[in-house]
Amino acid sequence: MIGITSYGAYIPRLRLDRMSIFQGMGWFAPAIMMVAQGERSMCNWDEDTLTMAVAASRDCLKGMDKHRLDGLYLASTTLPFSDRQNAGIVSAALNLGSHLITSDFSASQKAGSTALITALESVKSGDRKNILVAASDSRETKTAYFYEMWFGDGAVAFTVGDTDVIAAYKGSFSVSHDFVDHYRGARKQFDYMWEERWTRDAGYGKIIPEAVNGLLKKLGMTMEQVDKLVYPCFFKGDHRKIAKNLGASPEKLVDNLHDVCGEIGTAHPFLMMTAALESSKPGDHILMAGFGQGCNALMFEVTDQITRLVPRNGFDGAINHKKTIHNYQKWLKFRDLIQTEMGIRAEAPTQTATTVLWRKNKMILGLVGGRCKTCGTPQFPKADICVNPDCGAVKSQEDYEFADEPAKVKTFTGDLLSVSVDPPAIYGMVQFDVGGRMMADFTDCSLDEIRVGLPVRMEFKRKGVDKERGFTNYFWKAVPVPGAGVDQDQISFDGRVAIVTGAGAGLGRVYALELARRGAKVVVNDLGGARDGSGSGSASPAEKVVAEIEEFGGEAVANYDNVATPEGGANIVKTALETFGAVDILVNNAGILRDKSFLKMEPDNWQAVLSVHLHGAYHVTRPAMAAMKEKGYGRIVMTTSAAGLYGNFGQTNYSAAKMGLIGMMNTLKLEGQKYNIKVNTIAPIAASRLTEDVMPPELFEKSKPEFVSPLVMLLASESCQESGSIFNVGMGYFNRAAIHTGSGVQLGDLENLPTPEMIRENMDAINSLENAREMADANDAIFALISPPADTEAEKPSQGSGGDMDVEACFAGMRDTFNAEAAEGVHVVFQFSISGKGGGEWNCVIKDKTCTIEAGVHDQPNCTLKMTDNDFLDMMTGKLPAMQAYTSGKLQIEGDILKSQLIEKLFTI
Amino acid sequence: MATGIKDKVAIIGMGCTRFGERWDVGAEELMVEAFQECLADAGIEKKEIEAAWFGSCLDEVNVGKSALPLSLTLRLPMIPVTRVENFCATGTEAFRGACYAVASGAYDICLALGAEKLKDTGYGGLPSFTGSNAGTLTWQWFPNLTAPGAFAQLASAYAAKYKVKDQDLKRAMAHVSAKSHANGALNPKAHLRKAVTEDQIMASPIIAHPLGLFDCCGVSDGAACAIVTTPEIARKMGKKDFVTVKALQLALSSGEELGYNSWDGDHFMTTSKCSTKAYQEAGIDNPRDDISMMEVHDCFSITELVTYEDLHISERGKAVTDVMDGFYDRDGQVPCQVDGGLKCFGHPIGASGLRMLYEMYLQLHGRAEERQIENPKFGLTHNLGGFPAMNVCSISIIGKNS
Repeated sequence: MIGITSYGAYIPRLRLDRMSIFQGMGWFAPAIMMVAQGERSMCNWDEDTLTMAVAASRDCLKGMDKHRLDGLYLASTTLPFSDRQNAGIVSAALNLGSHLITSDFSASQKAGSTALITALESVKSGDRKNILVAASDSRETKTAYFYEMWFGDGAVAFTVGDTDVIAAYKGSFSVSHDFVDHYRGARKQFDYMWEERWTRDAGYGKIIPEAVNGLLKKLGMTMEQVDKLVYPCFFKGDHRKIAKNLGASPEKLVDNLHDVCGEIGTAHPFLMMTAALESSKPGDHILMAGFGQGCNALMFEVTDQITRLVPRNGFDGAINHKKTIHNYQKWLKFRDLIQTEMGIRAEAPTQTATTVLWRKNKMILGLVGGRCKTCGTPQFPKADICVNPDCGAVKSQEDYEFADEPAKVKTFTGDLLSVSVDPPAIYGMVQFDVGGRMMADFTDCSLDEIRVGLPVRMEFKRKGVDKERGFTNYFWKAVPVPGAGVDQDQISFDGRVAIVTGAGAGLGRVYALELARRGAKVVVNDLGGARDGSGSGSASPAEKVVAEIEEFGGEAVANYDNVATPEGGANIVKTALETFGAVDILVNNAGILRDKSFLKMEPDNWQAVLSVHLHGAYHVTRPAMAAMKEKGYGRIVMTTSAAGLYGNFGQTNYSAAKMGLIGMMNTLKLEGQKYNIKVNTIAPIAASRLTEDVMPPELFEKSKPEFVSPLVMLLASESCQESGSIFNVGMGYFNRAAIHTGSGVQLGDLENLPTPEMIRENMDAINSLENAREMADANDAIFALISPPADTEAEKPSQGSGGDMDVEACFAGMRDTFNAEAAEGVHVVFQFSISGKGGGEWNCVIKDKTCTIEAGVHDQPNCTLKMTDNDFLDMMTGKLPAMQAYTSGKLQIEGDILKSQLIEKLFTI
Repeated sequence: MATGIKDKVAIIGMGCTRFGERWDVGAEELMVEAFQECLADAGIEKKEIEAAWFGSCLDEVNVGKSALPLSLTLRLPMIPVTRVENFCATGTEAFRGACYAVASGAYDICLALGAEKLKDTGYGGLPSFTGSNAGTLTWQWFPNLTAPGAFAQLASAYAAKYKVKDQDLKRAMAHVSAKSHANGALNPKAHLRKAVTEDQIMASPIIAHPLGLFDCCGVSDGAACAIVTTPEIARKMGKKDFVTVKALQLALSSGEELGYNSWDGDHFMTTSKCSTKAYQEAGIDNPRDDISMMEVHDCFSITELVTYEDLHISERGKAVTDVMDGFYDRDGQVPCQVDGGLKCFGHPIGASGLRMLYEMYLQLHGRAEERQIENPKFGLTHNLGGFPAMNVCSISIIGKNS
C-alpha cells in the first residue's frame, strides 16, 4: 500500500482581522466590505514561504526518522529565490543530509497537488521510499483589494511512502488547460487578475468537475462513495455550488477556511485535506483536487494507521494557536507595503559571504552545534576547542542538533534602539536543557511575556533581507512554548471557562478581561445594545469587551441574554457549553438600581431589582451548577453590597436582594461541597457621592474596579478552598464580614416555661457577643444552642472547649493523648490534610511506641486523612464520631484505609 | 617569577579635553588639545618622547586604521607609534603599552593617547556592532544587538538571581545615575553637567528594557593622554609626590560565558578575576577598606551596579543595598565616578580609560577642586568592552609613590 504516511501544518500565529482592512481602506474601496468577515492568516515580519514550509515539515516529521526521507519537494509560487533551490534550503534547515533529491514545484496554484502526485507515483514505481512534500505560500497583493482579503499565509507538509500509510492513494486524474484567471509576469511583484465572474463560471465551475468526474470514472467510483470532498475556491457560494453540481451532499464538502485563515495558495488543498484527515475515520474516502491552469484530482482512503499517529500541531493546532491583529498598518509594514523611516543605523552593510554560508551551512540553516566526545558538553557553535574550561579538548566534537532541544530564557531585553521591523527587538540568552546556550532573537511574543526561566523552543525564521542584493538570510529564533508564559506562581485560568454576567462595563468588564488575560475562555454577558437593537455599526458593550480580549490573543464570546428570566440564564450557560464545552467559573455580577425611600417603593421597582440581582443569580447559577456538578469542579462568586450587609437609606429593594444572595450562598456552599464547588461573595466598596466629599482624593481614585478584581480572581481560582465567605473589597482594603452568633443562655425548662420577664432579666447575656462564633451550617448553630459551652466548661480539660479550640492546638495536644501501650508493634505514618481557615498539613509518625507530630507534609504517609477544620474539631472533641465522619463523606481517607481505624486506639480522644 | 608593575612606572603628566558634542573639532584637534595640556603638565619637550601608543576604537567613523593619525597630527619625529584597539578598554590598552615599554627599560619616556570622534555618525548612540562589517559569520546568526540591549540583560538576570523586585533594581540603577549626574555637575570638562533626580531617571524613555535614557552614558567626542617614565627618572627630573602605577590587569572572555553552562548572565566573570589579580599586584588585601575612589565602566547604570560586586567591594547580591545606602556617593565610603563617569563626563571610547586615570591623577595630586576627596590613597579604574557575555576587562590601580 502506498499513500500519505504523515502530515503537518503551520499557520502563522498572526491573523489579520479583515474588518481592519476595511477600516483602513474602505473609504477607497467600499466594495471590499463584502468579503470582510473573519480573519486571514499573516506572516510575522520574519516569516516567509520557506520558514513556514520548515515549520510544517517539522510538524509532519514528528515521531518519524527523518533520515529515511529520500526526496523533498517544495511547492509554492512565492519562493524567495528564483535561482537557488528553495527546497534545498528547507532540506538544510531540516538537516536531512545530502543524499536525497530536492526540487521546487512552482508557477501554478496546482503545484502542490502536482508535487504530491509526482511523489506518490515515484514511490509507486519503487524508485523512492519516502518523500516529503511541502507546500507553502504567502501571496502578495496590492492594498485595498479583494485578494488581500481572500488570501492567507500558511504551509502544509505530507510524507508519502509505502509503510505506515494513514491515507492510501487510490489514484489520480489530471487535466491541463492554459486558463489564465490570473498571472504574474516573471519580474512582477503582484498578480494581474481577470474578471472574477469568468474565473468562477468558466474556471472553478467547469475545470474542477472535469477532473473530479474524470477521476471517479477512472476509479469506477461514484460521488456516493466519497466521504469528504476537498478543493479550493474562495468564492464561498460557488464553492458550495460546485459540490452540488457534482452531486455531493453539503456535509461532504470541506470548508474553504475563508473565515479562519484565507486561501493559502498552493498549500490550500493540502490544508483542507489535513482538516479532513483530522475528522475522518478509517475507511473514509477523501477526494482532493488542486486548481490552477487545469486541475489535479486525487483519491485517498483513510486507514487504521491514522489513529496511531503521534500528537502534532496539525490542522487544529495550527488554526487555534493565534493572535489577532487589528492594526492594519502593522500588516502594511510587515508586508513591506509602506516605507517607514528606519534611520541611518539601518544602513549597516548586509552582504552575505556565500563562502562562509557554505562552510557554516549546517550551523546557520540547521542549527547544528557540537557535542564534545571527551566531556559530553553540547555547545553552539561547534568549534575546534571545547568550550568547557575544565575540558578544552581539541577537535573532539561531533555534530549536535539543537533545533528540537527544549530551552529556557536565561537573560533578555526588549531593545528599542536596535533596528527592527517590529520593535522592540527582543533577544537574550537561551539555555538548552541538555546544556549549550546561545544568544538568540525571540519572536512571536511580546516583551511582557518574557521572563528568566520561560520555556522556549527554536524555530527557523528569516533573519533579514538584503534588498540591494536580493538575498534572504535565515537563522533560528526562540519562541515561547505556547502556554508557558504563565508564571508557575501565578494564578492561571488556562483551560477554564468563565461566565461573567453584566460584563459590558465596570467591574464585570475588568473581571472578564483579567480572567481572559490569565487564560480563561470567557462568556461576556451583557444585556446592553444587543445585536438586534437599533444603531448600525456601533458595537455593543459586550462585543467591545470581546474585541478587547481578542486584541491580546484571548478567547471570549459575547452573550446578550437577560439574567432576569429562566430562559436567559439557561441561554447564558448554553453559550458557554456550546462555545467552550464547560462552565468552571461563574461571576454573578449583573445588577441594576431603582433607589426609592421605602414608602415610595412601588412594586415595579421592588420586582425589577430582585429580578436581576437575586432571581438573576438563581437563573444563571442553577444551570451552571449542573454543569459544574457533572465535572466535579466549580467556582462561584456572588456580589453583595454594604447596603445589604449593613443597610443603606433608599435601597430596601437592593438591600433585600443583596442579603438574599448571602442566604443563597450559605446553602449553595453546603450543596456544592461534595462536588468541589466553592461559593463566595464579595461586597465591592465603591465611592458614592456621599463618601466622595469626605474621602481624600487619592483614595477616591482608588475606587476603581482594578482594586476589586484581584480578590475575585483568587476566589475564582483552583487554589481557592474558601467557601461560604463574604469579603468587603475595594480601594486597597480587604476584610471579611461574617455572621457571628453569641454563646447565649438557656432559660426555662419543661416545668418552668420562659417568660418575657426572664428574657428581660437576661437580656445582657442574650445580647452578648462574647465568645461569639461562626456557624458551619444550621445544624451547627442548633447544636451550639442545645449544648452551650458555658454548661460544659467545667468538665473540659484545660485545653478548652471545641468552640474556641483551633486545629493547631488540637495537634499540639494530640501527643498527650497518645496511648503508647496500644502502639506496640505499630509503625504507621498518618498525614492530616485539614482545609479551611485554621487548616494546614500535619503528619503523625508512630514508631517504636513513640509518637511524633509535626506540621508539614510527610513524603511517605501510609494513610492520608482529609477534613475541613470544623469537622476535624468536631471529631476531635467527640461531637462527630469518626465512623460517621467517614460514612457521611466529611472525612476522606486515602491510602491504607484500615490503618485509619488505629487512630481511635492510639489516641484517647 | 614575574613581580608585576607595582611602582615601576611613574605618571608625570596627563591631559584631557572637555568631553562632549564637539561639533567644531575633529579627532585631530582633540588629540592636540589633550596632548598640549599633558606636555605642559609633564614639563618636558615633545622630542623627549621616545615612543607612543595610540588608542582609537571605531575606525570606520573615526580616524581610520593604523597609528598614523597620531604621528601625523602631533608631528611626532619618526618615532615608534603603535595603534591599539580593544573595545572600551582601548584607552587603558594604550596606557598599558606605554607603561610596559618604560618598565621593561626599552624607553625612558613614553606617551599614551586615546581619542574618539563619535559625533560624526549622523545619529545618537554607538554604531551597530553587527552587519557584515563586524565579521562575515557573526552577523549571520547573532541578534542585531545594541550596547544598551546587551547590557540591559544583566538586569533581567540579576533580578532573577537575587530575587530583587524589578522596581527596586530600577530605583538602585537610578541612584547610580543620579549620583554620577551630581558629580558631573561639578566638573567643567564633563559632557553632561546637569543634576537629575532618581524620579526623572526612572521616568526617562526606555531604550532597551529596563534601561531608560538616563541609564545610558553620554556618547561624546574627546581625547586624553598620559606621559610615563620610571620613578628614578621622575625623581631625577625633580618630581616630588608623583603618582605611580600599582597594578595593570586585563582579562578577556574565554567563550565560557557565551557557550558553556555555568554563568548566570548577572555579572562579569572577567572583572571578577581581573580585579582579584589587580589587588594581588598592588598588594591590597581588603579593597572595600583600601580603595579610596574608583572610576568604573558605567556605560549603563546596571553595568556599574553589578561591577561593584565583581570588584569585590560589595558582596554578591548586596550592591543594591550599598547603592541605596550611598556607599558610592561622593561623600560615601568609596566614592565612584567622582568626575561624572562615562555617564556624565562622556564616553569617547578610545579616550575613556585615560580619562578615568586623569581624574584619579588629579585627585591624588589634590587638584580636583570642588570634587576633591580627602586624602585619597588608591584610585581604581575599570573598563569593560564588548558585552556581558563576551568582553574585555581592564583594571588599573594608581597611587602616590611609596
